Amino acid sequence: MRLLPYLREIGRRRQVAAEIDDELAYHIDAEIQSNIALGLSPSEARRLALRDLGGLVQTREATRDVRMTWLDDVARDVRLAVRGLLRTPAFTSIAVLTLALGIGANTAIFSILDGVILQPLGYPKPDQLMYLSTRAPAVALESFWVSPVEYFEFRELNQSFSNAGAFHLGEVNLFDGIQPHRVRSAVVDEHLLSTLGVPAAQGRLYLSGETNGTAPTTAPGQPPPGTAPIVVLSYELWQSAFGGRPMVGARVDIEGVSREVIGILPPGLNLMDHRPEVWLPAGLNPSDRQNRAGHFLLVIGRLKDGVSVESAQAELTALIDTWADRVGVSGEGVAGHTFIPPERTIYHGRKMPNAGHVLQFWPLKQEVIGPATRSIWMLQAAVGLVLLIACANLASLFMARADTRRRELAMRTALGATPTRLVQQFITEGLVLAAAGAALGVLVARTGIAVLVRAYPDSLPRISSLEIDGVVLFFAAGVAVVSALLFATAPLVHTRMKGLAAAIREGTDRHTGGLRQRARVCLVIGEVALAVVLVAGAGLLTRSVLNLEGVDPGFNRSRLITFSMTLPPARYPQSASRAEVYQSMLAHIAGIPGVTFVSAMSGLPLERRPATMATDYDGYVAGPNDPQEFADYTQYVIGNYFQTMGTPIVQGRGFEPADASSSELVVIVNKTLAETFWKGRNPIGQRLRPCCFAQTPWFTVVGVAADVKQSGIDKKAGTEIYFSLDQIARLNATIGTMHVVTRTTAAFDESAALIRDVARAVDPTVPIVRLREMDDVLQESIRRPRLLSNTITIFAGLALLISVIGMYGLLSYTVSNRRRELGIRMALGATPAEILGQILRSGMALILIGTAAGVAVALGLGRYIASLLFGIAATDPATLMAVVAGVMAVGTLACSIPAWRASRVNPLLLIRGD
Amino acid sequence: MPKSDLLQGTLDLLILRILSLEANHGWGIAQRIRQMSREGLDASQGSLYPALHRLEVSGDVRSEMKPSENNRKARVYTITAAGRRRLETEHKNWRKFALSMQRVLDAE
Repeated sequence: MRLLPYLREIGRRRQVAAEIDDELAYHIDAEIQSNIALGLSPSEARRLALRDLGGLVQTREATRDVRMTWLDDVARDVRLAVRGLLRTPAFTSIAVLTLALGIGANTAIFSILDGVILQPLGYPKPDQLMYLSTRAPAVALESFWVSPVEYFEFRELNQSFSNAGAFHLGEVNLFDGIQPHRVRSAVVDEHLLSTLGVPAAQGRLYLSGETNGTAPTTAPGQPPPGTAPIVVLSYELWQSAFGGRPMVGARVDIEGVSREVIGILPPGLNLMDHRPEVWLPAGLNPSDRQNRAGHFLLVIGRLKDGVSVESAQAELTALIDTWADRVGVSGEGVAGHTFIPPERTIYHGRKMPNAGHVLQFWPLKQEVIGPATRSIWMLQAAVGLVLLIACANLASLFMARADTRRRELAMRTALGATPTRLVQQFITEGLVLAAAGAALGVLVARTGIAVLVRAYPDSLPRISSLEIDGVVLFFAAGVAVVSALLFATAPLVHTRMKGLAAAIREGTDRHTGGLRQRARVCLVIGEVALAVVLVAGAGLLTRSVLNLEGVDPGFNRSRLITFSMTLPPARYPQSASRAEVYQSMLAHIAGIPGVTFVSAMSGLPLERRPATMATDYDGYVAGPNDPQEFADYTQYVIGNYFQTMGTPIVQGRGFEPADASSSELVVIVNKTLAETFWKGRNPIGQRLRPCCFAQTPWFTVVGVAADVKQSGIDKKAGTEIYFSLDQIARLNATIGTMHVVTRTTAAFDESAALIRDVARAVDPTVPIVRLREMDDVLQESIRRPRLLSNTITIFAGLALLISVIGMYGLLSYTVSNRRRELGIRMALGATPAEILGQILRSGMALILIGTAAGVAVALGLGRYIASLLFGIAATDPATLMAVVAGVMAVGTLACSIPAWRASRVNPLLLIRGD
Repeated sequence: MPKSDLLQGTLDLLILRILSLEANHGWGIAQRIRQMSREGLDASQGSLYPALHRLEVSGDVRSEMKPSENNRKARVYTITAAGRRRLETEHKNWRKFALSMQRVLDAE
């Protein structure tokens, strides 16, 4: 077979057909002439000529067939398929719709899978990037920050990494001259952007030494005071806040400090999924090796070319073994804080409480994606099941359709179609349907993704950069083709090629094509089973979310409005002045109608990370296995905190107004802390001393509060100390972002507007951030379980709907095929009720078997979903029973309609009209 | 006569043989087959044209429109070098086949 003639033929199909006609006409004419020459009349000559040729039409078709390429075949099949499908609009629209939903849902979830898990991070050679962190087993921290000294020493000692950079993330105030914004910040040292491999799009990035400083860091995402007044902007912020006008060299007000923009980064740059908008200097001091134990840095390192993860890991383990000696560190306390291998609990006769404090790393991508992987695979599996069910339905529909096209197929066979051609035709029909379904499905997917990202922003990492690209479209096409092959070849199952033509032609309407009918029954049972699995999963996940929402967070979250505010240190250098500002703000808010209580705190519950501050507890001596002297959380509060939040005081008292000016330094601790460090003793009157104030005075405990779930509804409460903001301010401690909480009886919208006015009156250059109800805070903190449960519920609903439609279709078909038989039975005395009962029972038998199979499968798959559940077992009997009852109810309803119609059969009409 | 693979093969050979002597158009080839086989091979002329086009697709012959006897344009086929090679090979195979069939049939 020569390719070139074929390719040329494709374009000239019509011309080729005309040429063949001409050629045959020439032949006929020549034959006629020759016959006339032999003495025949013209009409006789013509008749003989045609006879000798053997049938003009057939010859022409046969010759054309030789010239036809497979592409022509395909084109013809597609034309026939489209015409055939358009002749049955009901079937076609149901099929296309079902496919659109199935393929669309799969495409949407796959684009999430691709965008979050499969796509590499957007840096050059991203597999070389590692995320470094420390372990701190003494305080049960598996992945903790790195201290600056540890970071500097790592850079100097290791040989496997070509570069490493340090940073931390947060938010800062940016004032563009008209209004204040709260923007996401990354505070970086000079090495971070070069480690990532990111160049400047405009201007330049930080030079060597430019990010250094001498003052200590105050808060995550905040540059310490005294750093060079320069900043790098993200591309997105440059466009949104500054309209893309020339900004290099211009100045922006960040946290009250006027900073010069030295560069703009390329678009689409992300860091740990935080999408920083401003990149500020970190103010680290490489020559200061004192702050060994202040852990607050995140570190990313890039492996050298050709260095494997294993060899880098081996080198790090070897380094940790002799770290202390290499850096010349010994002694106790902060001065002796260094990396120690886990097995070295005794060293030179001394106990090492910090054993196991090591530096560790894993791929950056793993850190960014984190535990989202399991949820996403679960979504993909669920949506795959939905597609399977849809395909089963379509296969069933196709089988029914093949039955009704018997005559057409028989005629085709008579005209010369081989069984192969008929199969080709079935498959072409399936592919045409699938193509239409896929095209529609991509639109469905695009809408679905847009809705999902809008409804659950930040619920999955990297979700903001989702898009339908070539890979996703290829996936959609692949799914379409596979589905088409599945359901289009279904009617041909159990039939060998040779007997195909006969089987297609036959299939009487007396019986219901026994084998085909049995196949359809199996399909429906399978659909019901799969639907049950999905509904069970949806039920378990929904109950998990309800459980999460029902957990007592430790405070009363109804009618509680919160917002956060950060007073820039440049304008409010003294802590005392900041405390005054907050006091005055609280006083004004208290005057708003409907407000019952108002207070402010430094940490907003439900999504806080533990700060793990070293704290001395008077009279507590830690045994070898006892908790170390740390506090997980510290809260600076102002105003009537505990009453505003609704957190009960279980012992002693809360803060009183007198404390603000009192010279006796007091704290409130939470129940967990009291039980951890003063077990069996009265915590009231005990003393503790937190680290890190200028002078470190002792505080006296005057009350114990109930636990608040600071880091999440589903996590245990940690140890917490509450300080009075006024007392802290007198000690000149740093006061960063404060969250103001207001309990009000008025509606949210009115209160929100009034609160905004008050805050603006206090300082118009400081933005009010995230003004919302605490209920929303809770919902946001569980956004991923909510996303998962809501999406799978939708899929389960779809699955149930599709299987019910399939069941209904099958039963209707059966009933309509058996009308004669039913009519006879009614004529012989069966009552309508009996007929109804019989049909209903046969339908319910199917549902029962399907449900039982589904429950068995659901129980078997339970362990895969267990890690995503909260407060409920994967085999929870109550949920499973509810699912069974629900599915059976819905199924029975679906069966009742055909059963009802069966009982309405008029036997006389039937018998007469046969 | 029923179509069979065997007959198709022989028809191809016949066409190639005829064309190896001189180029011809479809009707001319049909006439020659009638003459050469003395009506012994009664292939329906209808199978001639598919065979001709198949040969052209496989490159054993080529065709072009040429003016013919009665000044009408006809499609004239010419054998190609590949066609001649095929003819040679198949001719040899036929002889071998006929010889061995004869031996089998004549054997005691």
